[in-house]
Amino acid sequence: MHLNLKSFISDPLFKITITSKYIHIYNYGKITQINENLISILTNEKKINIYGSSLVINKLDKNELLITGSFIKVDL
Amino acid sequence: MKNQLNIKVTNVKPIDFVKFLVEKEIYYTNYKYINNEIFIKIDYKNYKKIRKFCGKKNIKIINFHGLIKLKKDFYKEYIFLLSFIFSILLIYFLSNITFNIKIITGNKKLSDKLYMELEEYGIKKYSFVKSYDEINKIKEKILNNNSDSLEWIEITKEGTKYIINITERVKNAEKGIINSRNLVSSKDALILKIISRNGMPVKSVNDYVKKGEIIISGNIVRGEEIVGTTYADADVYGEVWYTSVVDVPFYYKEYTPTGKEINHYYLDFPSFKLTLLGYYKNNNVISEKEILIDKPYLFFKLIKEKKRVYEYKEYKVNEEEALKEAIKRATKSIEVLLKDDEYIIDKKVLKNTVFSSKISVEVFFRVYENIVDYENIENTLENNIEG
Repeated sequence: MHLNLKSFISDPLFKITITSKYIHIYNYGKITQINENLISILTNEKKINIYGSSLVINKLDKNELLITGSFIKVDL
Repeated sequence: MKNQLNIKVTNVKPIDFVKFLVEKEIYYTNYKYINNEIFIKIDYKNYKKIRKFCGKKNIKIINFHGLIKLKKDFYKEYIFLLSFIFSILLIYFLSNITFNIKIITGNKKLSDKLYMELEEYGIKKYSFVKSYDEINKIKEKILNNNSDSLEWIEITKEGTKYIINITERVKNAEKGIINSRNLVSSKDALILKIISRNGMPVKSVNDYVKKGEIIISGNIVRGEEIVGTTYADADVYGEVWYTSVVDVPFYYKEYTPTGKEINHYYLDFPSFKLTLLGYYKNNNVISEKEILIDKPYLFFKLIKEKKRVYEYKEYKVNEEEALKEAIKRATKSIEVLLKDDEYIIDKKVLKNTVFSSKISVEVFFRVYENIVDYENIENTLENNIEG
């Protein structure tokens, strides 16, 4: 129960939610590249590239990212 | 509560600005880019770093959040807030001051005494109000100090006023008289009427009673035993007898006051009097003298003489008229003693002696009179024991 509760309060797993309007990333490692057409993110295991136009990081937190803009492709 | 800011950044490329934020790990939310202006919400601690990057002119704080907002609002409205807090404190302070004390009683002597006593215990005008426990202690002390005159006291606070309600103690001695007493005759009389309300009648109408004799008893008797006492209460009327002796001269003066008064002030020297004010020479006055100044070093006294002016009539009467006048005067002397419900039943001339200059008349009266008097039963018992 203790472990369940701990994982509920602070979930350490990487998560990415992709919708047509935004991409929400949870527990990312590092932002390696950022411009209007590409945002590259490093996690523990792999590199994620988000392609598009007018890309903006709408919310930036230690564990959380919210990217908006017009998305073309996401390389996982 | 996190201290955060909404800021507006101008003249900076959005991508460069976001890169800077990412590099410096400055976390943010609510990013918006509208009309070449960046709107963003950041932590207050990062504001200085951003300002350094953007330049002072290009950054503007739009809004505060968290404790910093409260702090800023307080600085903005501190005069109003301080006035408000001061007003509340002032109202609280004034509401805890006593501005008036009212003791509800008709007994002025007791009320004056209580005012002094309350002042001694700190309940006085313009002093702080007392707590509930203090009030209770004060009530207890006042009751103990005035156990002979106070039955109960209640101190209530109405606004800034103390209202003291008291119940005076009815003295035991008075209670005793009311509780157990006999109704006795105040005079030697023949009983004509009894309206009994309480007690056991011992006498009835047409009985003769001596002064002090019991008419209605306060003892409750069962068989031959006194089982209790009560207060005898009744209206008892009887025939009472008087004799009045009046002398009337055949020649006499009758004085009637006019209501006129003259104050005569004069200096009284050893050999003469010097009038200062109000000289009035008349035989028809009755004078009262008052010495106003009498000092050993002065050779005169200042005297005030109050003169009441009377009118008088001279009468010369014969024997028959003198007799009528004597009866009239004798009747008047009895009538002044009677109350509204009492009256003269009958009168009779007992003796009529004629002298050379006057007539002396003795008149006998039968009077309808209230003959009620009371006697404490305890006293009676004690007297009986002593006897």
